[in-house]
Amino acid sequence: MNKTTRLRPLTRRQDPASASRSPEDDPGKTPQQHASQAQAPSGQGQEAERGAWEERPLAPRLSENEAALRELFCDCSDVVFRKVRVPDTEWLIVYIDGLVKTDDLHMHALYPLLFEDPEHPDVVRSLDTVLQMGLSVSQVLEVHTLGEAVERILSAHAVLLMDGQTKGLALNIVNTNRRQVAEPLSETVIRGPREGFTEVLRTNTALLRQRIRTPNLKMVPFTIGTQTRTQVVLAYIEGLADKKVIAEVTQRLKNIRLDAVLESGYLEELLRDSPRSPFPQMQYSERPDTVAAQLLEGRFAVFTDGTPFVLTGPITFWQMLQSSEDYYEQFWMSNAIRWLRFGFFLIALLLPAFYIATITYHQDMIPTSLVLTVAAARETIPFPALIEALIMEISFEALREASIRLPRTVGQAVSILGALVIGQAAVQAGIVSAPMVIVVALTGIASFTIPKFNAAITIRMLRFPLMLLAAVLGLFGIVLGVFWIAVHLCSLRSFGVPYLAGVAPYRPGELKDILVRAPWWHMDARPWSYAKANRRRMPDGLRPSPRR
Amino acid sequence: MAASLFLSGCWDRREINDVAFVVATAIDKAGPRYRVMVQIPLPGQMGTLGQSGGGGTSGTKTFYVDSAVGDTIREANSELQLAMSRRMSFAHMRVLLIGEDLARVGISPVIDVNARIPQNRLTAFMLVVKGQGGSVLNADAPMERYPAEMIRELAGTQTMKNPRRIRDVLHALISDGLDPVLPAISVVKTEPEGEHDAVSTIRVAGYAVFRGDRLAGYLEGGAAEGLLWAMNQAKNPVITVKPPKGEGKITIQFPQTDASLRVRMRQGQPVYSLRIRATGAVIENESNYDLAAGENMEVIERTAKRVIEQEVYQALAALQHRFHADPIGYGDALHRQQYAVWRKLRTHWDEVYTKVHTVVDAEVQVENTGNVREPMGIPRKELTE
Repeated sequence: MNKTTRLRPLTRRQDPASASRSPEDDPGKTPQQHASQAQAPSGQGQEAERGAWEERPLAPRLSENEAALRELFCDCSDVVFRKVRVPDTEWLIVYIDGLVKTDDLHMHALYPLLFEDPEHPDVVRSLDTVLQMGLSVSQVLEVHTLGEAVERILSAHAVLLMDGQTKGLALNIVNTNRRQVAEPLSETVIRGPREGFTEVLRTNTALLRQRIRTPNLKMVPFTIGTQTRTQVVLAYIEGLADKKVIAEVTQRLKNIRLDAVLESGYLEELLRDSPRSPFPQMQYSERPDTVAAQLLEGRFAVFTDGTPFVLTGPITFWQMLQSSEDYYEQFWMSNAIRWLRFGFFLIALLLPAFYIATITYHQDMIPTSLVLTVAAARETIPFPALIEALIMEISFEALREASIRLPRTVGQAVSILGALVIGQAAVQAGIVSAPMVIVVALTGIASFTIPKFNAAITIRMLRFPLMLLAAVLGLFGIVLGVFWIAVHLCSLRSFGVPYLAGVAPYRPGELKDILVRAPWWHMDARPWSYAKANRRRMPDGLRPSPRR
Repeated sequence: MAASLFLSGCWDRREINDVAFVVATAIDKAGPRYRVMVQIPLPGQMGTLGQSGGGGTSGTKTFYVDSAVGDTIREANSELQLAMSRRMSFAHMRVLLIGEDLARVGISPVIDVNARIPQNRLTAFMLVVKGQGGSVLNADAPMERYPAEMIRELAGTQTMKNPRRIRDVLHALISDGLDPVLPAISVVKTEPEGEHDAVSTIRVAGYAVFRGDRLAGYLEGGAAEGLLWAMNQAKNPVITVKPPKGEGKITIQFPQTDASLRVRMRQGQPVYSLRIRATGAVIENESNYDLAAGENMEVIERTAKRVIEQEVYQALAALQHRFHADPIGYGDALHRQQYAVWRKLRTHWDEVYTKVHTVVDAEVQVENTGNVREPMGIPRKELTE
């Protein structure tokens, strides 16, 4: 019944490449794989500090080990030391209260140790026999050094040490009593799975594994963060993902020497190709189906323990305007909505700038009756159009920010204040004009139609420089600004994949998932830009028809 | 690229509230000089926002009219600008009005300014005003927000299939064998019940026919209709015919019309054939003529055909003999269709034009009689077969 993984002794000093492994190693992996996927050494300063005790092998005398552990965990009130005395020998169980499921610990570790089986009275006298016959815990790792023991304890294992033995057992009895799998709040859909990732890495990888049941789905573990020792998993599908990209992202992950990783955003900023670009170069998602779809197109995913947001890459600009629901709804509707997003993306970026430019420079371009209406509305406004636009746009951003940060109950008040004070009173008082309110409102709505929040923020930010350019140079300024953005987008890369891939460089085959969403029976090829290894998704001729 | 930001030329930022949008210009003769009158809507008076009930304060007009005299139109505009706190913008000028006096001495000089400055739109409608050009700009025209809008709508909907724009006039002036024709408008009093309720408004009053760039005269009524038929510019024309039997009249409207002008040589002389095709519907039958009976519809079609041909002949007679003007483009047709002949005739085309013969052939089809076929309200036994 019991499965054991033998850990080889830690060799961090000698061979940085095969240093400590993530505690959650897949049991089925071969040692060779472990060696190749191991984690890079941490920062040198911390290294020296920890190295002294980390390397120390476990002493044969239990009291010595206990003293060492107690010293390390001194003033750690949440660490529990439990000594068990059995005939001929002593056991010590160390774990962190709250991280370990104590019920299971009692049932499956303490109980068999304390109450020996009359048929096998000698079981508890040796670590090996205990491991083989005495513990009803499925995942047990062996630890050999103090450092390993500490790492296991910290990653929610219960470590079992025995007098007279130079190794210990780490029992995986993780307390899984965390937030349940719930509907993802940041990416809601009408049609589509309602499951979202949680803060627990294993739950998240399980959600993904449930969707892609192939041994080709690889999950390479990393431990990042010299203080936090955060578990990170790089997932990809072997045979679909570009090997070079996977090698590159592995290398980049190994190079990360942050002291803490509390959210996947920490990693995102260190994994990007162009660190200063305002455009997101990795996508994050709370949705297992979205991540699964990305992997199936040959991308990779980076799971980070402690956050429901899973990073995926390489990405293209077009993904910013796609939602998982596009692929679940019938394609006519998806196309219509996708085009709506394209249109509103332009509105979100350009409308205020365009409005400023036309009413301060190019009145000739507006139809006569409209220009008179706008002029009438602006008759009493004391500010130039740019100032008016800035007042409104900045208040809108403030309003949005306030409503996100505030507790939901107070959020109502904010929207009332916003709608009433800014929307109506300001117009009636003649401080801002009604057309400007319409422009700002439309822009706000447009930016909310962008499915990816990080992309929407980028667009919202870029609109301000465009407004300034429009106010200074009119349409010429807008053209300059858009030109600059376009040049920037063309030069961006996400893990070596051009940001506008499909359009620039032009790959006609990929357009069927960029400009339109082709019906599934037509999307027989994976996007060439990422899924270089295996382009075909399915055979030809799947279109349903009465007679074949 | 940074440098290009500063090399963009003139910086012409103007807030929308510092611009006076000229929506109409009327040009008149003032002795040897020009009087230019502009109409500018007052956005503040137009009541779009915040003012309950809309429609500006009673008593104040929603537009502003001013005029100035100058040797050139631009000079007059500069004079005007001196009395305006907002910069005049001509980009929204949708109608250009020419006073009758000016039209008689020639319109070529005033077109230059409209073609020279790109801010001015060649797509503006051009009309001739009977009397002083400025008179229409001061009409009440209560149907629209300001008179220029009314004139624009009139020109666009009530005149021709392709309402005459400045560029059409330019085209006619420059072309060999084509003279401009413009709709004419005038100020009229409305005719409500009480005399004191009457307001002034603007109506289309025939067509101003030019010979070269000078006004030759006006065509009105049937002759004007005939001109439009011949130019293939008749827009939803309505004709009233008298049925051969019975009493009363029948009115027919033709939503689909077409005209083509061919020229052939006969005994060394150009002979024109004008084919008109019209498809229409009976919109009123106040006679006791039964359209449903026998061949009566064909009879009406033949009658309508004669009426249309009559109108065209009437127009042609006026054009050839009275105005010596060629707005239909007889010369142009000869130029295109019989170039060798045109080269021989072009020097004395004006004389030839007055003598050429035209065969007008209208092909009338009445497809529809509305919801009913027999005249409503007349007992069946009183109908004539």
